[in-house]
Amino acid sequence: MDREGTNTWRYAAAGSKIIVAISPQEIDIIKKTKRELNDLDKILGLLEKENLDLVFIEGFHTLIAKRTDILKIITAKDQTDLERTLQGTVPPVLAATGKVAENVNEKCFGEIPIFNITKDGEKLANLIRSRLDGI
Amino acid sequence: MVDRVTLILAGGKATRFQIKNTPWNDKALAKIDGKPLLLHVIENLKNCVDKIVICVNNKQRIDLYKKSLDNHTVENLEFVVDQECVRVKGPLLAITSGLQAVEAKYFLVVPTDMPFIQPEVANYLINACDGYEVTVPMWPDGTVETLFTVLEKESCIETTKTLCTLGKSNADTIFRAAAKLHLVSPIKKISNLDPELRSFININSQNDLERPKTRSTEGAVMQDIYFDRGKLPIELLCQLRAGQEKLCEGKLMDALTVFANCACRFETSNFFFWAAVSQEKLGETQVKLSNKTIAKQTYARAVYNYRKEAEVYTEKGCGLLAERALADKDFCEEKIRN
Repeated sequence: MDREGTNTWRYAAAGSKIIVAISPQEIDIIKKTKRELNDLDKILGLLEKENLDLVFIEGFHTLIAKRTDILKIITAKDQTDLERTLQGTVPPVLAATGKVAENVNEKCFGEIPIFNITKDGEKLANLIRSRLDGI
Repeated sequence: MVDRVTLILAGGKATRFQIKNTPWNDKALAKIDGKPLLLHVIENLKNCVDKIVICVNNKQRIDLYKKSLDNHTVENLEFVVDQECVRVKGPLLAITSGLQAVEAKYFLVVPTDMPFIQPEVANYLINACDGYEVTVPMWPDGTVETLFTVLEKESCIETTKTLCTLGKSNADTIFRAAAKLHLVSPIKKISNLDPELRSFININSQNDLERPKTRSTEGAVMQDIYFDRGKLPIELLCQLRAGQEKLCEGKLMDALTVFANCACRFETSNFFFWAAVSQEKLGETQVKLSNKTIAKQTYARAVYNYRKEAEVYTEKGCGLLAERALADKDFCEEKIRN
């Protein structure tokens, strides 16, 4: 993710395992790793002390699909694409969104609500908020 | 290890065979032409296989049958009593017990009440299992001869053990659970070997002893049907059994992880039956954890997979198997409603 030639890149190239870049607005921590990409819990563990209410994880389908403790929001092109992604994704699935919302008439696929993010983004945000209320 | 074994299922209650207000009749010992049904089956099949195994549900029946066979020399005969199992009884348990107790490659399973099986038909069925895990005759109307089947031990021992552990008690789940299934039409080659198809006559009632009935050949499916669902991941079946143990011990979070992994992997490899079973178990675990909304979604996934399974069978005219998948689907839909 770092760019060649920057100071942080040069520290990493020299062998630093963790490089911290600090500015008045942000702190970037770069941790050099080859293996941890497959260990979601280890990655989430890095955030443990941050006292977060919510973590958005984008992508990582294969790591997330079989997790029963992670709420999934599925993006899909159409119903076939949604069905394909659902196959091999264990519940809970919070919602579906993406082009599928324009391509199907129904607002639900089985038990799963479908949101048109440009029109109903707020509704999806409320649904996420409602799931945080109990925490 | 011998190659071929016959498992004779002789542990049933024979409810339809009983006469009102008289003591219980053991159907295996009922006579046709002066000979017990059990002996008919043994004599018909003894030259097709290396060993004959009689599966019974209690030890008393062994003595009874031994006594009845006293005057007849039957070589390589063995008795197997049903294992202890809290969740499943009946033919599935008998088959599972037999498979585990005896070493052989192919198991020809027959009920004790089929006294007219011709050895050529039995041989044909066993040979038809080459390259498959399970072979079973299917009639043109889509009904299956559930208890007249050939099982290949290596794969079936895992599937049957898992079905017993999970409490899937219906014997025809063996066919839905198999990855490679051969449904043999009795109308084709078998009818050349046995033109009247007497091999398939079942003695269910006292009347059948006097007037045995042949099966109807009405229906649309006249060909053999084959299913090849790829290689069944045996390690996932082991995981399912382990998950059930965790569920029983109340280790719900462990059960959740195991069933979720199985559901995910079976779904991505299109094993609809096993995916549905895994989702059903996952749903059961979510209910126990009081996660009602997630449980509903999970049962909905089981419904989806059972429906997919049924579609595959309906397309090929396998009425009974489709019916069974839809019954399981209905059961899961009921869970969602409640």
